[in-house]
Amino acid sequence: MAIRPGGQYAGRPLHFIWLLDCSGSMAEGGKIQALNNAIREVVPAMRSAAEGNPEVQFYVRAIKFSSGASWHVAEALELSHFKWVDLQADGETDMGQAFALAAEELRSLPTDARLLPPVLVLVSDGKPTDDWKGALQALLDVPWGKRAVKQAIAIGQDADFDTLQKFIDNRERQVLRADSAEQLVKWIKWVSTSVTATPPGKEIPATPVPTPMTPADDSVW
Amino acid sequence: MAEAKIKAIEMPQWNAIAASTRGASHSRSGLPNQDACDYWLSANHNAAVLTVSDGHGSGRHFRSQYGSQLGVAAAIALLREFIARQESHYPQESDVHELPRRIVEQWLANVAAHFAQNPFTEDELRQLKEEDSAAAEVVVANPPIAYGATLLAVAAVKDWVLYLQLGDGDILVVNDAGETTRPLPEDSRLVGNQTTSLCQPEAWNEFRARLVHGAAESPAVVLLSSDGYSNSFRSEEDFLLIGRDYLAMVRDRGLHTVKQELPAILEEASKQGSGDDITLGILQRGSISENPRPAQPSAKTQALEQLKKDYVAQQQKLNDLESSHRHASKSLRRMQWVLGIVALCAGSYVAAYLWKPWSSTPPVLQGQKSKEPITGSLSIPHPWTLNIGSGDIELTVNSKITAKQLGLKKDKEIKDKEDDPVAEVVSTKKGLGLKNLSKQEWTITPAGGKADKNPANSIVPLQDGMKIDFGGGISGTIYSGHDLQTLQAPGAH
Repeated sequence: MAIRPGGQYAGRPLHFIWLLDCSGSMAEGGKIQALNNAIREVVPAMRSAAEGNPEVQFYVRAIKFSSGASWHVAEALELSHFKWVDLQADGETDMGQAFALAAEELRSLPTDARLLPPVLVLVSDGKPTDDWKGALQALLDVPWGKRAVKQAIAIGQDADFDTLQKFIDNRERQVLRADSAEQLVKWIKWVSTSVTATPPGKEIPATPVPTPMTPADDSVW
Repeated sequence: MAEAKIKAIEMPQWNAIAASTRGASHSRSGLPNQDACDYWLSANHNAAVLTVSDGHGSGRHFRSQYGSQLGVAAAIALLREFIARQESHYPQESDVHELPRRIVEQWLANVAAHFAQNPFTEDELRQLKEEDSAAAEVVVANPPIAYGATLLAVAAVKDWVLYLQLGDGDILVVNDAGETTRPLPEDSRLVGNQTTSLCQPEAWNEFRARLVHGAAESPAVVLLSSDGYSNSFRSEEDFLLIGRDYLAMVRDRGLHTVKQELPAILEEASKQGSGDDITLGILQRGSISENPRPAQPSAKTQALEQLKKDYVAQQQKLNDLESSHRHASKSLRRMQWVLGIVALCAGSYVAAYLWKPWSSTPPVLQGQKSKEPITGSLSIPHPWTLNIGSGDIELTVNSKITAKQLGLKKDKEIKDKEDDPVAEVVSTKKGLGLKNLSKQEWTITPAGGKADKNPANSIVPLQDGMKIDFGGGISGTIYSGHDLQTLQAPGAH
């Protein structure tokens, strides 16, 4: 007789949520397409990294924000079922509404030690156009919002680095700046796979020193 | 026989087992098992301590596998002392209040001693700097952070049970009906891989503690586990079912059999669940006969038994005299009464002397009135002891331990005969040591240290928490209630 005291075993859930800027400025210089390509490219790499860490059940979702915010991928999907549908760029940068949507979702997660800290990754190229401060505070006031591992990628020099750093809420973690499509892929891949490959109980490793890149002139944002 | 039965009813007989398995994810990444566990049982099994510690493991806590071992050693030493001091009266909340601080201070002293002998290596610091340069600076300024660990402990005697917890992990109490509850309040901060720790400033303020009085409240089983176990289940409800199941297992199969099964159970849980290290300790209230190895009679027990035998022999002689010299019955009865009184007085004296920790008079501490709370470093009147699972052997200078006392049996590996002395307590410049008089090599593992060999005729200095493998499947742990060292607060290094 197999001995198994207790009920059913299960891996630990980890919720991974993208917060993606789809404002009109993202249409410039091929930024939105670079973002779509980067995420599409990173999903197989995330699956591969997650295979090395079978004790974690990864659930991936995405919020998009422009004039308002909404769920782009609403259902918490396991990596094996996650497929990327391209985003379109248009409108304002209502980042605060994206924070509110994320806060609402994190509030609904059980306060259970089994859950690994959720991961929120914010990608933006501009300044918020709505009341982001109150919404960010509301997000950080949610227990899982405070404890979530938060990372931000700034696309180009016009991004609001100050706001993104406030979102990260951790002085030891810096905003990652992507000035080219290659850098965007690099950072998205690094953020995503470092989470999926890191064993439970670990924090995301310190930001690696960016290697000097010489992007082609036409790809500089 | 009648006396033995009465004792069995009055005194809960505690038994304990513990097992720890390296996490599935640790095995893949080459990390060691950073959990630790240990237990102590008094010679007569009516007092017990069980403790589990979980080293944090992440980057800056790169020595947490030692931190957890040192935490377990500190908890066992301080809880043994607590039991010895408080046995004479019901301990109150105020008695418990000071315990967490003393455990933390002892842990810091243990860490300081380990660090003094093993300063950070260049490799350790280089690796940490590569991961997190800011963390490296913090740890160099405050080395106990590298040893960060949690602590769970239970101390149980005949009529009270004490539960202590710092950080994550689970203590479950199972009653005779299999109902499982948590004796300590929930700490809502311990989610999302957050934990309080022995290494944080004033860690004693973060302890949760509960003292439960009354034999009727004695649990059938107490389970202590690191968070890797509860995190391996789908839900809290799934996890709590282990209480009912382990109670049934230890009742049906016996603690010894469950001990053999635990490593496989925990390994499977880690693989299919959290991937983390998993440690489980089980404390069972039951009969001494359920102990895997019968308790070896301690020096105290042997002395008392001898006294009883002498008394019975005297009684028999008196009866013989009485039957053959009935005419002198009056004076004989007087002699019998006097001898009985003498024997009783002698017995009480020997018992009071030998059973000092359990006597009704609290031991007097140096420079301190017995009722005052103990602070700072004091000499605790405990002898060094060797605990071999089934009981304690006191280690006094020049005393010898035979193969029989340890439970060693002559076979292919063990060359010593039953009555051969296999160890002798000797005095050295650095304090007491244990000389290997056996024909085998011992394996010595200091608390938080690496295993080393101790060949025949060599002496190993006694250290608190040190484990000795005597061969033949027999191992023991050295314990001492010696002076607490001068304590260093984090940051003082």
